[in-house]
Formats: sequence, C-alpha cells, structure tokens
Amino acid sequence: MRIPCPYCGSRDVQEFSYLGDANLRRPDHEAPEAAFHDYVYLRDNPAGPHRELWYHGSGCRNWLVVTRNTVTHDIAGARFAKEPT
Amino acid sequence: MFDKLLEPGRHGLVDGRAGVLVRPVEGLAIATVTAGAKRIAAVADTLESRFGIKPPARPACRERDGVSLVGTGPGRWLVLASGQESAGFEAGLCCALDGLGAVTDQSDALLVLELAGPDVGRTLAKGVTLDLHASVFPTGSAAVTVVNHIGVTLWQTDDAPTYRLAVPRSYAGSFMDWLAGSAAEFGLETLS
Amino acid sequence: MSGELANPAGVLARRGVEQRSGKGTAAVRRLATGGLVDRTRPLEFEFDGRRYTGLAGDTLASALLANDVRLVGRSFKYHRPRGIFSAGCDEPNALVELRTGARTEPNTRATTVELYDRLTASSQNRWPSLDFDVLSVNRFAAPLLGAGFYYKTFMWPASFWEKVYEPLIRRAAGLGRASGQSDPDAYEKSHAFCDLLVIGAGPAGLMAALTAARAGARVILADEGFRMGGSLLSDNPVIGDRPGSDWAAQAIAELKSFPDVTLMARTTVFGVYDGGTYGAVERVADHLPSPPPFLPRQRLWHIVAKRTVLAAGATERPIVFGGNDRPGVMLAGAVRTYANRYAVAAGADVAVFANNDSAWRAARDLVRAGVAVRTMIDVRDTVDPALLAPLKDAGVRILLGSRVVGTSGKRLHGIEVLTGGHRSSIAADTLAVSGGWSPNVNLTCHLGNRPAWNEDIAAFVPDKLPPGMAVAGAANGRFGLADCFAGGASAAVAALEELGIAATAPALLRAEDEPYRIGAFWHVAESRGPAFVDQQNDVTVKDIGIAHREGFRAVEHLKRYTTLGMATDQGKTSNMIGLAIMAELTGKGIPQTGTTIFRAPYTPVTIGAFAGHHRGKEFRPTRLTPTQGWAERQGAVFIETGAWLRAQYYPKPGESDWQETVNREVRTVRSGVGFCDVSTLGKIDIQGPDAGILLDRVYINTWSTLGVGKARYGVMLREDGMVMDDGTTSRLGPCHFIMTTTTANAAKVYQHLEFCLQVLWPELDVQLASVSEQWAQLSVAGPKARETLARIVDPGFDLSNEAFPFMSAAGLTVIGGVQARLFRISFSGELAYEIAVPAGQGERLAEALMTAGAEFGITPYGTEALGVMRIEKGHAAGSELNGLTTAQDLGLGRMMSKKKDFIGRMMSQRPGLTDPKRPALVGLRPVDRSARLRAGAHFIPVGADAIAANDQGHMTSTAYSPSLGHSIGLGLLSCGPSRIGERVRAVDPVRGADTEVEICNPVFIDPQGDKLRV
Repeated sequence: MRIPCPYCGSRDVQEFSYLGDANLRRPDHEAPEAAFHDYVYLRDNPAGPHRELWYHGSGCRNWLVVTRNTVTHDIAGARFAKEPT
Repeated sequence: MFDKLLEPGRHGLVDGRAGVLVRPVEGLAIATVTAGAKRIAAVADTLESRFGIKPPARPACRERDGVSLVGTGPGRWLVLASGQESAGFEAGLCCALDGLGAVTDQSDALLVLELAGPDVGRTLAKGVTLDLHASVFPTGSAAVTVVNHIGVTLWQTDDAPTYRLAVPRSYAGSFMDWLAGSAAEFGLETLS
Repeated sequence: MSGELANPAGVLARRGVEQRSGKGTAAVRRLATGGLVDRTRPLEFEFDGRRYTGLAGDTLASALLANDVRLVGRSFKYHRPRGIFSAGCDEPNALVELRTGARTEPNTRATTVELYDRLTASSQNRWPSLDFDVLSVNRFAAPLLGAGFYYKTFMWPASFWEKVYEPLIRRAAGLGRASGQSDPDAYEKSHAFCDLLVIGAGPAGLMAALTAARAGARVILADEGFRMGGSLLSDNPVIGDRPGSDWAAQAIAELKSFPDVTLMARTTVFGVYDGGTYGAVERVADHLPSPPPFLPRQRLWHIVAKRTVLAAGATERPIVFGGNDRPGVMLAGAVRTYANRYAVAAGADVAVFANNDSAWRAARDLVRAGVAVRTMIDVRDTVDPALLAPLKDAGVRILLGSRVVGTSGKRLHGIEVLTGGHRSSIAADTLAVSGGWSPNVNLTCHLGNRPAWNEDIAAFVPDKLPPGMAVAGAANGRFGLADCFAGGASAAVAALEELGIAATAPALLRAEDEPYRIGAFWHVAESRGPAFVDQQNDVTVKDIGIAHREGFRAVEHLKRYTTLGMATDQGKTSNMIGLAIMAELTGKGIPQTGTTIFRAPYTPVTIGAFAGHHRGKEFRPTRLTPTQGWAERQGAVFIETGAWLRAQYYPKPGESDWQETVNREVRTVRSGVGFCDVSTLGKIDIQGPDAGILLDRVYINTWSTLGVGKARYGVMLREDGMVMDDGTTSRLGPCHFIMTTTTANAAKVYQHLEFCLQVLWPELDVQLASVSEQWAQLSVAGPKARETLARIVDPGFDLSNEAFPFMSAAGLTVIGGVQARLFRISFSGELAYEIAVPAGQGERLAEALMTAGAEFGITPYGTEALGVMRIEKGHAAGSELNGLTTAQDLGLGRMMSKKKDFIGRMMSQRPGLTDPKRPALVGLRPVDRSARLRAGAHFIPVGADAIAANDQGHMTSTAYSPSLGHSIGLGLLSCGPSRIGERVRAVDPVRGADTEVEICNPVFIDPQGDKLRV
C-alpha cells in the first residue's frame, strides 16, 4: 500500500505506523469516567471510507489523517493531523 | 569512525572500474532547525538572511558556500555546514533563531556519506523504497526515508548522479554492511 | 478414417529424427531440424545418477524427453509413477530435486528448470528407486486413502497422533526433502518504479511494451521464462513472412534500445498488492550451477507501477479420464511446445485427445515437425473442415465423437477409446490431451476480485480488475494472434493516455488469427481406473464425489476436504475441472459454483528471497554504542538488547566466570567508582515556551515548576492508566528540557510526544528532536565518583555537593574544552553522575575516566552489574514496566498529581486499578540464604497447593547481590506492600524449584537514600 504524505509524497506503507480512528476526541479533563472509557476502548469498525491516524515515523514524523476505504484499501487523501479540518 | 566501518579500497567485484564510489563527508557541523507552528516564515527568513539560501518548503536540498539546507518536514530543516566547529555553529544559530524555533546540534549523530558511480542507482534501489529516476528525483531533491530498516536522510547533489546520505551514527556499521553487500556485484570503491 | 501406419519408426527415420547411440546418452527424440535450441552447445547433465546430453536452450524437461526419459517421479499419496505433463509452471508431476549438498532444492519443476552444463537432478518420493518403489503399495490401498481419509481415520486416541500417525504419514506422503543445511547463496531485494508494468512477454505483452516504449514511457517488461516470446516461441506462428520467434527477437532488440525500458527475463510477477505495488522474483542465477561471485541466486522485486498490462497468457487444462496420470499422457500444447521450441518429439507414437481447435493445430504442428501422430480423438461430433484437412493428408486416423476411457502400460503404451458405445484399443506411447485453455486470471484476483464465466470459451475470464490494471491477449480470453497484438497495443495506449502520455498503436501485423472453438467437456464418466483431477495431490474424480456426498460442496470446502489445488502447482491444471465436476454433481452450473480465491504467490517463492539480506548477523540492523570500539579493546563481552549491542561485563584475567566479574564490578562501584555506557537510553530534546505544559500532561507528576538546572524522575502512563515509560528529565533552560526514556521505548515515547503535540494539543508551541544519536552518555557511580569527575571537568565548574547537589543538571566543558552535559542522577543508589559528550568524543571520555579514576580502582561495568544494582535499589525496569502495571503497583502512586490533568489520570483511578489486592512491587529474599531465586516463579502461600487458584503474583527480576551475599528478587505480589515480613513460596514448576522467601522492602541497599546525597 502507498500513502500520499502531504510533505514527502507517495511512500510505501512500511514507513508509517497505524493508530486508528481519527474522529476520536480526547474528553475534557472534567468529563466523567464513562467518556474516557469510550475514548479509550470503543471503536467503530466501518466497512468503507474511514478517517484514520497514521504516523510517518520513517519520514517527516508527521501524524496524518488518511481517508482509507477499509474494503478496497483505496486511499482518498491524506492531510496533516495538526491542521484544522 | 569511518575507517573502522569499511577498509579503504576496493570491495566486491574487483574487475574494471568500480560501479559505486563511497566517501565520508567529514568536518560538517550539523543541526536540526524546527520552527514553531506559527513562525515558519520568520525562521525561513532568518535562515535565508544568514545563509543566503531560501529554505525549501518541500523535501529538497539547497546549497551555497558550503552550507546545505535540507527540508525534512514542514518547518523543519537539516542544516549542514562544512568547515565549521559544531558547538559554535549551533550556538550561533540558536542566537539567531532565539524565540522563533529550536536548534539542536546533530553533528555527532549523523554520518554523512557521498555515493556516486555508474551503478549507484541500482545499488540504492536495493534499499531505498523511493523512485530515484531523474524525472522524479532530480538534483536538489531530498527525502527522509528508510534503507534496510535504517532511517536516513538522502539528497541528490548533482546530475552524475551523486547522492549524500545522513545515517544515524549507531547504525553506521550495519548501513555499511548493507552497502558493501548491495554494491558488491558492481564493485565498491571506498575513498577517504 | 485412414489406416494406422505400420511402421512408426520408419516415419521417424524418414522425417529425420536423430538416432544417437552411446553409453546411455542417446538423444533419441531430438528432431533433426527446427527448434530454438543451440545445437552447437551440447550440455551434459545427470538425472538419478545417469548422464545425458541436452542442448543450450533446453529445459530439464525437454532434455529428459529428448533422451526418452519419461518416468520422472512418484506421486504424493499413492506413489504412482508419473511423467512430464506440461511445458511450463503449471507442471503437477515432474517435480525434481535439483543440485546436491547444501544447494539441494526440492520440488523444482523440470519444465521450468533451464538446463545448464553439469546440472544434477534426481527424482523424489520414491524408495529405493524410481522404477521400483516400495510404497507404491499405497496404490492398492487407494480405496482406503480417499478424500477425508486422515480426518476420519486418525481421530483417536489423541496420543497416537504425535507418536504414531504423523511420523507414518510423513514418511509415506510428501514430496522433496530439504537439504537440512544452511543455504550457501545470497538473496536480495530491490525496488523499481515505472509508468507501465507489462507482465508476460508473449505477443500481447511485447506489443504493449513496444507501444509504450515508443511513446517514451518508463516500462518494465517481466517474463517468467528465460527467453521472451511466450506463444511466439511455442506455437511458431508466421508473422508477415517470418517465424514468430524472429519477430519476438526483433521486438526485444528494439525494446533494449530504450534507456527507460527494463527487460526482466526469468522474473515471475507473483503478487498484486495495494496502490499499484507488485511482488516479483528474479531468478538471477538459478540457471547456473552456482551464482557467480557477488551475485545473488534470486532477487525479490518490489515494483510500483502507475499502470499495468497483464499479458500472462493462458494455461491449458486436460480432460480427465481413467489412467490419465500414466507417464506419456501430456498436455497437447506442451507436446506442441516440445516440438516447435525444443525440437523434441515427446513420443514415437502420438495420439491426441481434445475438445477444442487448438489441439488440432498442435497435431498439425507435430506432423509438420516430423513427430509421428497417428490418432486424433475429439469429443465433438463435428469440427471445422479446415482443421481436418492437414491431418487427413498426413494419414492421421481421426475419431470424432469419441473419448479416451482408459490407458495401459507402466509407461503409456496403449489407450482405450469409446466411440458411439464401442470400445477399441489403440497403441500410443504419448497421448496429447487438451480440454481447452484457461486465461491466467490469477493476478487479476489478488485484491479480492473474482473472475467471470465466459461460455464461449468455457473458461473464467478477468472481470473486475485491480486499480490501474488492464488485461490483454490470451489472459483476457482472446486467443487469436492478431487479437493478442491488437489487444496489447490498445491496452498500452489507453493506460498511457490516463497518465497523459500520448501513444499510438503500431501498424497491425499480418498474423494468423485462427478461430478457437470448444465443446466444453471435463471428464470421461465411462472411465476405467482412477481418473486424476489433481495429479500433484492425487485427488480423483471419485474424491470429488465423496466430498459432494458428505456435504463439502462449496468450492472452498471441496478444496480443503480433498486438498484439490493445494499442492505447489496451486491447481493450475486441475481447479477448473474440479469445480466443473462439482457443478455437474450439484446441478448448479459453473458460474454459480464459482472459483476458490486466488492468492499470491502465483508460483512458489523461496523463503530466502523474502529474507533477502536479512539473515545471520544481518537479520536486523545492529546499533553500536559510542564506546563500542573502546569496550572491545577492554575485552568486554557483549549482549544484544533490542537492536543494541551493549557491553555485558568486562572480564579481567583470572576471573573464572561472568558471576565473578559482575560481583567485582558491583563491589567496585559500591566501594570506589565505576562507569557504564548508558547512551542507549532515549534522549529527546524538548524546546519551546509550552514545553513545561507538555511535560505536565504526559508525566504523572508536575514539571512546570522544575527549576532550570534541575532534574526530576518522571513516570508517564498510557491513556488506559498503565505505565508506559519512565526516566529522568532535566530543565536546561526556561524553554528547554532534555527527556530520557528507557532504551526499549525510545522510539515509542518520541511518537507519543508527537501524537500529543500534533493530534491532542496542536496549540502547544513545542519542538522535539531526538538526540539519542548525538550524545555519548556515561554513568559514573560510586563514593569516589565526584573525585574522579573532578579530574576531567574543566576548571571553573564547582562539583561540590552544595553547588551541584543531587538532581542537578548543567552544561559545561570537560577534558579540555569538550562540550558536555552533567546530570547528578543515580540508578545504582550510589553518589552518581551521568555525563554526556558528543558521541564522537565517547571513547575519549571513557579513556579519560579510566585515567582519572585509576587511583580509586575505577572499573567499567556492563549491563549485568547495572541490572544487579538496580535490583538492589528496587528500581522498576523492563520486567516490571510490562504494560500491565500501574504507578501504584510499582510503589509510585504518590507521585500522581491531584492538581492537574495528565494522560492516564482518569483511567488509573478505576476501582480495578486501585484495588489494594492488585499485585504490587515488593522485595524478596530466600529464607535459606543459599537458595537461588529465579525470575518467573509464582508466589503461593506457605502450605497451599501450587495451583493457579492460589497464585498471588510472580517474581519479575532476580539477581545475586554481592553487597548482601545472597540472591534477591523483585516481584509483584498481591497486597505486597502490606505483607512485609511475611513468607510465601516462590514456585517455579518449569525448573522444579519451590523456595520459601521473605517479603521485604524492594530497596535492599540504603533505603533512606543517604548515599545519593553526599
């Protein structure tokens, strides 16, 4: 698989490491335990387009939000995670 | 350090001209410069006024008067200066960029090698997972990538083509083992 | 129908078959003319100990056939004699052991092995000899060994499986044997990129490559064979007025003239991966007795292609009938290939059995080449008169509406034919069979696609394709030569257009475009004797019937229950027939029955190719510390710790074992001074105005209040509340910290910090840089550490306890102007410092310390002594930071700030993680002080049974403490800290130990920490 890093260009997947769902938001520190429980443990497992966090650890060391189709592995795009959507 | 890694002279195939030439680039002061998110332009301007080089906004290398700026990430550059004392070079940069970004001395962290020769492309292809064809990776291109599971920064300095690779110090021995093995079929000449 | 020829040998003589005689080397079946072999270059080879001669350009199979060697192996299960069946990678039978000694390679296909001088091969799966095989009695037990036999028979008793059944089955079944020796050859990997990857160099592939090359595209043309040309070589068509092989040679020469075209012969593209990535294996030196110096045997290619044209051709399948595995029964296209390409007559008396037109052209070519074809059998009642004429003219007996029902002879000498209810026996030493052609759709299906059924050619054809791939020629179900050329050209033009490269199709070539008609026919129901569907795994028509009766009807069940298509050939010639028979039994039809999933690799790839450079000491890169060379000169013994090679201990002359050395190193540190390279710890430079806030959020304790020039111990948690890592971090300036991590977690912590800064809190203004490689960091420890350091620190720096107390940090210069950082931190519990200098100065620093400390008897110490001293001090390390422990478990719970948020705070408060019954860190010492403790032992109450229900935790780390004179341990014990003074047993059933131990404070040495602060 190839991932289009917005800085480095198209790179082999072995340069990246996968984290998971990019839609999760860390709860505010005053949020109840249940909110943290969901954040730490609950994950959707969609068949189809999925926004995922990937780390380009062997390249520019940026965290990316990659939109990947979990069925076809087709990658619709990637952007820096630190940039607001 | 380099002489301990690989004996100077010919390795692998000994007939004819060596296909790959490798030479350590010594006497470099090396630092990483990282700009704060909102101060990339200010850092770039400072670097430009200091070195007379516009810092590349993409993975590329620009060189002038013995100083090279290699783009390694957004707002992040590897700065290499030949003939400069590393601590002084870092201190000077720190002063210039005070409050704008971080300067970190890496002069001892990286072994910089220069690779050339007619078979350098075929040799690098055994480890580099990038397309180094002239139409894609011309002179002045740079990349932070992996060779043989070793993270390296790679850039092309001329059309011969000649490449420079910055290899982490602790991995230098394994990198040279890989290079010697990969270049063996073409003949590897180690220059000092 | 014409009469049979009375004297086939006469035909051979008349048509000019070379009759060489001599000491067993007669190449009796080589045709006098034709072929693409080099008659000026004879090659000697050996098969099963006998010497033969072949020609350059032969495969091992063609050379064996030229020498009339027909029996080449025994089958997998029944040990039936088997011969050469095909002329390519689809071969199920002719698997041989190639080469000898350490280079022995089992299960190589004689049909793809390129002949070289002094090649040595032997047959497999026979004992004592190929001709007389003892286990061929299995054949008579065949009725017992049908589908599901193993599953049904070896059910009980369970203990019999390992001791009795498995060894028995392994001896009887199986194919080649590995040499058992280390492979002496090298393998490597390489990467390639192109605009267009063309897979297969037959007519369609060559035309696609030419079209793209002329347009200036970057092209890779890969072909599994050693000579490019595909069917142009085997079918020998006429193009214009020249032989097809000439046209191929010219096309290849033109392709070679383009700088951006790479021709890769002997290269199999075996797999399709996401993003236009392909796996291929190049057999660099398989065609040589041993690889030339510095060349690998094979090279694994990782090809990234913007577009791909698959022109992989088609595979012929047989018709299945009784006794169809007899040596001499071959695919018709293979018999044609042997005649056209290798100038070999597969037999002296050939019959053909088919259901399609291509076999008739094979027969025509055989007649033209001078091979004796006597009988043409077709299941169809009528065929195109244009096919009949050339065979009739040659006097071939033609039997339409007929089928072969049985065979005879150990090597084929006769067939039984059924024509309109009438059975007749016909003499033949070779039966060329064709059940039609299956496009090689394999690579189109690797990303989960399924092929579509095409009724017209009775075959599956590509349907949905991987992104960027087009299919041309026979692989697309277009078998005509003109169709192949046109398809290759137009596929290339369309692919390049998508890339913005203008290309034009070359002018159409004048080529024979013969129609292909087929009457779908899979197996002969009236067969006499076992009818093999999968010859490599010995799966018969009857086995498929058993699977059907027992409910294993889905193709994937059929495959696994009968092992159909699961051999090394992956059912290239058998899967289609197997599923067609199942479709017939279920009445469902072939499209509804479907195919099994196609997976990589297309043909077997050696493990060596996947390993490449990564074997032996280069299995993975090794990281060396900045003092490696110095430590080597000191005679250190090294140990791998993760990717690092570290000094384990430094033996001195006269020391008898490692324990003695380590004891000496520990005693020297505790009484004098020693030093250790700790450069492997991760070091992260953290700069920026918000650096303190970041540390507050990632560590459980408070950092923003740390003074400049101070160091602090920190613990970081994962968000689930478990400890992630620990280490000492120092503040070098208001906006500048240097973090240390454990050696093992250096990369993980860096990634975690980047996650915090880029994903969780992008508003923080903090910059990171790894400086693990930049600094050589040595720990100098012992009561004499300060006095030693005083001799290397440049004048002007005050080392006194008042000026530089415990947990201080400073920048300074040492040994005459070397930039350095000094930290007063201790892992050993002694007065200690860590001193960092640029990595290139590491060895100089070590030498300077040796000189400076000589008066105090300074010693370098390695990871063993380091480990002993940290256990003596009760510091948690890898065995305790195991991902299952909380800060509280490790006795660090009080460090957790209640005034701020930090990662893992909320989840660490869960009742399950704060339960006092959780195993927590304690020290342990044996009641009998002479007993040795072992890590991994479980804690069981005294007097209780050593069963899981009574398990109260385990021993995580142990060492012999030279300071205390006995074995000590750290462990995680339920309610541990409140049980100090109690006794439990450390039970180690694996090593047979059951030791009573006292629970104690984990800090065995100087629990008040007085020594640190002097």
